[in-house]
Amino acid sequence: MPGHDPVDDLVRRSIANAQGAPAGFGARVRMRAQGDMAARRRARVAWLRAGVSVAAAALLVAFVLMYVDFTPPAKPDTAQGNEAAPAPAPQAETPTPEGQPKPGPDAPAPKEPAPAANDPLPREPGNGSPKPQPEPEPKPAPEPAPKPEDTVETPKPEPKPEPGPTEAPPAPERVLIATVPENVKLRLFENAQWRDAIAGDPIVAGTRMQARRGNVDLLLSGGEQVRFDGEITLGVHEGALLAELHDDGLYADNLGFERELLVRGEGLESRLTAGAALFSVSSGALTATCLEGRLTLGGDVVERGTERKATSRAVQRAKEFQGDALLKGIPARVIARYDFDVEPTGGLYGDGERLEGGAVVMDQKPYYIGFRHNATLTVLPGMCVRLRFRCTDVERLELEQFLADNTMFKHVWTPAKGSDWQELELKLADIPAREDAGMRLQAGDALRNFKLHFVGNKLEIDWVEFVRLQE
Amino acid sequence: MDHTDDMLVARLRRSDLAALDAIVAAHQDALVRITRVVAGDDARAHDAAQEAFVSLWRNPEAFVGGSLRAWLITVARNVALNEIRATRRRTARHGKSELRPPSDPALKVAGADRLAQVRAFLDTLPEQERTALTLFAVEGMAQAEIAAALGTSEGAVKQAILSARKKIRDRFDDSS
Repeated sequence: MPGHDPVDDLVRRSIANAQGAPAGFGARVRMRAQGDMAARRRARVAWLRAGVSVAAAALLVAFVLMYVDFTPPAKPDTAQGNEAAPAPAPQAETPTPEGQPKPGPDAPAPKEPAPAANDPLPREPGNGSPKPQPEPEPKPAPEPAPKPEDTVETPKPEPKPEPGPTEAPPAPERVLIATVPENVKLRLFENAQWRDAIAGDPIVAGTRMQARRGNVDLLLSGGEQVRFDGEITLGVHEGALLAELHDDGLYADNLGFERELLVRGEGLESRLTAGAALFSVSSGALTATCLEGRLTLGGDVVERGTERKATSRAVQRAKEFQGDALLKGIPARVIARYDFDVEPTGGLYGDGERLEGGAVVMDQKPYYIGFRHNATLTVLPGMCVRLRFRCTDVERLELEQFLADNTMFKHVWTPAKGSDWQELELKLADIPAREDAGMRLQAGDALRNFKLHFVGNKLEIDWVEFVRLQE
Repeated sequence: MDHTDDMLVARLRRSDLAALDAIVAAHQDALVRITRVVAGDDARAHDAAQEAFVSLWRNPEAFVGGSLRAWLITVARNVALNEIRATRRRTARHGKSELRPPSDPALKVAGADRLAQVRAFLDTLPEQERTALTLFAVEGMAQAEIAAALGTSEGAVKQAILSARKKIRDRFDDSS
């Protein structure tokens, strides 16, 4: 043990002035403990209700298995026999117990019946709600029995295993959230243990993930982009994308999508609607920063460019956002890309362009390359147009973007000399209107087509893409 | 081992709020003081200390005996360090830190008295050194108890205390 030292006195006296716990500290701890006790009580009631529901469902299933005849109808030899055959057991009528207890963070996601054995991993529906059942609504009555004349021509059905009490429950549906991209250090919690993910691994709803080193960038199957640097579980909840944040930070971008993002962490909740935001958890608090769109935290709005921190006690006042390392180097989110291996869906309209070796080429009047977007392309905040092109004796290029009402936005520049491929990246918000230089393309504008006019001999475009960059 | 603490924790297992009040009253000042040394600011220190008490309330089984004060310090310190880590990440982009005072305490507290300079200098020491020295010199904790709180060995604690003392002595030679 280090003995007594005069320095200790100095340190003691220097810290002696420091206050201990502030007034009301104990009361705040007590308040949180009481809140915690109430929450535990509510959870117990919820578990009890869930238990009753499960027991009721089990009883119902047992009743059905005991008293409903699952024997398949006899092969209809005659019309008479066919009519007399018992109705097949309805497939979708087994009730799903509601209010089942929510599994813990490490538990597998809630499972849903698979639509078919040969499609174990259906993709999650786009922006809409996840399809709760692969089958349509259960019909009140079974399909009418085939008519005798049909019976003769109907091929003999494949022999099916006898349904009965020993039949295994339907395979659970696994909602695909994303696939693991290349060069990502990520661990997945599966079968009660962590494992390193490899590129191409499916990430299904409810899988807990951990960034092993640095940030993990994922493009979700619904189109949203996320980045995280800690631990997270992604899933779906009532039509929204659900992110349970266990540790560190999350960046999410669902601009242009109807599907909302629900972020939960430390028992608190935040909701992002068509926007981009940062979230982080630490010390019993959830912090949310609005970069774009609409964001709420614990029911309070977080304005664009500000951040708010919520604890179980309150949502703190907004602070101006000062930046976050998690935003550094976020990959561009590709909104639309045209590679010219085939003609764009909306069609080329330059009257003379031709596709050659994966590029579109033009070397005659009317000296432009133009194509229509499939429907329209909505401008998002931070959106840029990028293109790779090559010029032959071209002295000027004019990039023209048209809105649905024919308003033209135009950017003119002189390309580098030579015959090398060049790339251009241009923020859409920097492109002025032809008639009014003070007017710029802005978020929400709907682009109808792309046109690159040139003054010179020949223009080739390898690809064009519209991306969103988070600043 | 403090039998009073053990009895209070046993009562926590029966959700006895009065036991929590007693534990908070006994340890709150020390806990806030030490987390302030770790975290560097009052708000973070209060949050971390509060979190330690709430953790004990939620899961009293996590305390398996020994020094309750050391256990609380361990939890509060971890909370504070996690918060610091998160804040550092969030502010890293702009190359600024809101966590530590300037490295030269004399600049920060120019004109202030010597004790304030010592306090400011203490903040510039490595976290483990300043925490170990504070627990030893201010809270009067034993080396073993400090080692338990910091999750390290007694030898490392001793080394941290000696190192912190030497730095302070070198800096404030005339006053010590």
